[in-house]
Amino acid sequence: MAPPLCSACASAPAAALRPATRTPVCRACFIAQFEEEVHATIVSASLFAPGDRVAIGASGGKDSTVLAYVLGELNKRHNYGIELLLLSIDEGIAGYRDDSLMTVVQNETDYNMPLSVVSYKQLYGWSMDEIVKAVGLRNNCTFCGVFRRQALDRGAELLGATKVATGHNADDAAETVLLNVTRGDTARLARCASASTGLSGDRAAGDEGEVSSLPRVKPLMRTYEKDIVLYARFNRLKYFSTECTYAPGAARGHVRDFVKNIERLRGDAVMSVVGSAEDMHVVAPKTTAPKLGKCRVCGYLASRPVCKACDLLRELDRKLPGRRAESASAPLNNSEAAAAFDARKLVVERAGNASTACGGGGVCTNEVCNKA
Amino acid sequence: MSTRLFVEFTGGLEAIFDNQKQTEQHVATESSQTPQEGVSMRTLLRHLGKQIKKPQDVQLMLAGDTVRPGVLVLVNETDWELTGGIDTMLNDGDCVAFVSTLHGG
Repeated sequence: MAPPLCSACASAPAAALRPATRTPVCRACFIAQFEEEVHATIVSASLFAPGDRVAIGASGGKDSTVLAYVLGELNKRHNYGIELLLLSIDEGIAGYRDDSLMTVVQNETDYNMPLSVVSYKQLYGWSMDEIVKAVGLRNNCTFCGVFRRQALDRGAELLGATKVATGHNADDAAETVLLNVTRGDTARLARCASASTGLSGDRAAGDEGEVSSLPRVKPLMRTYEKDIVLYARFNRLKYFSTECTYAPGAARGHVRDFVKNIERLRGDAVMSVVGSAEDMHVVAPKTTAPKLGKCRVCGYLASRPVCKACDLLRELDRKLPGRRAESASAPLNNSEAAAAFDARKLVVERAGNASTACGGGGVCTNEVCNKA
Repeated sequence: MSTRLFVEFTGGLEAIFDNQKQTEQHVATESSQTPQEGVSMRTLLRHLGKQIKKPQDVQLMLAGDTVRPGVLVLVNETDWELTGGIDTMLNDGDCVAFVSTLHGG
């Protein structure tokens, strides 16, 4: 069966069926619509201001690769006046993401955006492989989620960035909304569907209550996963699609199947789930806003006396007490991190020298990593 | 008689086909169809399903008689949702790409 004509230009044969509207569009119109829709999200949610230095959490996966490419295009076309930087997180998981870091290195050249890599090993003294050896496969993703969120934040701060952009898409958001419903987490439900956190002074917080110092923006928040993958294909963007070695594929896996199934039945359902959470005025249990201070161990932004990352590091030290002598596990404090960063030795490594990496922006399929 | 197709696996699906990304498939033409009519996508899916060595891998790509939701299919770079889905007819030399979106990003 020959494809119908494009519903937008009515001259070329359609190449894609848009998932949200079920309208057929040709390749050129698809690309144009995709880019203008992302632009519309950026404008309507006021995600950027001229002069912003934006650190893109780059994993080499589909979402962050498309995000970097499309932001580069839109910045030129619509004169956002922003500076775009690539920031990758190296969790230290051997055999996973070695190639994905090579993809990010390629992006640095192709998109002409400087790349920096921050590793867990250098920031916290532990790689994920070492953490899994110590704690096993039960709550290792908690460590990864907390560490990634903070690492992305610290890396971005060291780069002098004003914002962090991640590649979360509409399908991710719908999954997160539904997961928060199943957990009865109304506070998080109210904010998880937003395209930004921290722009109006509200602090972006992770699953474990850890806080971010920089605003987070999600320009692909209203973009369907299908469109992202088709956009990458039509533009011949190279991305990496390996799963995290430690991904358990638990609750999020079920919700993901559910989202994909309802999408097949009714295309706009995905965005409706996100929109429901956005429009809901959740009466969350009255809690006092966390008072922000400095972690007394590492000096980094924290809502408790000791930040979540330091908390987890203490837990690791208890598991492997012998280790403490050789390297006391505490994240580098701000001045140490800054010094190391300046030297480009300790904290930030050039990608070419790193052995493994899997970046931010939701590279793992497991629930905690995905939300970092 | 068989129909020769170029079949591509990406987005992680190559892992269940011995890490082959580009393959050439010779799909036997069904008796109900003349060689000129080629083969249907339904027949190709059945043909490919038999090549997945580990039974537990089948569900990564297939569900029932079609693909798992979240797996995109392109016939000569056109979304198969526009060409008839599993009833799309494929002819000698056609290119079919299976692209999984079910991985981290």
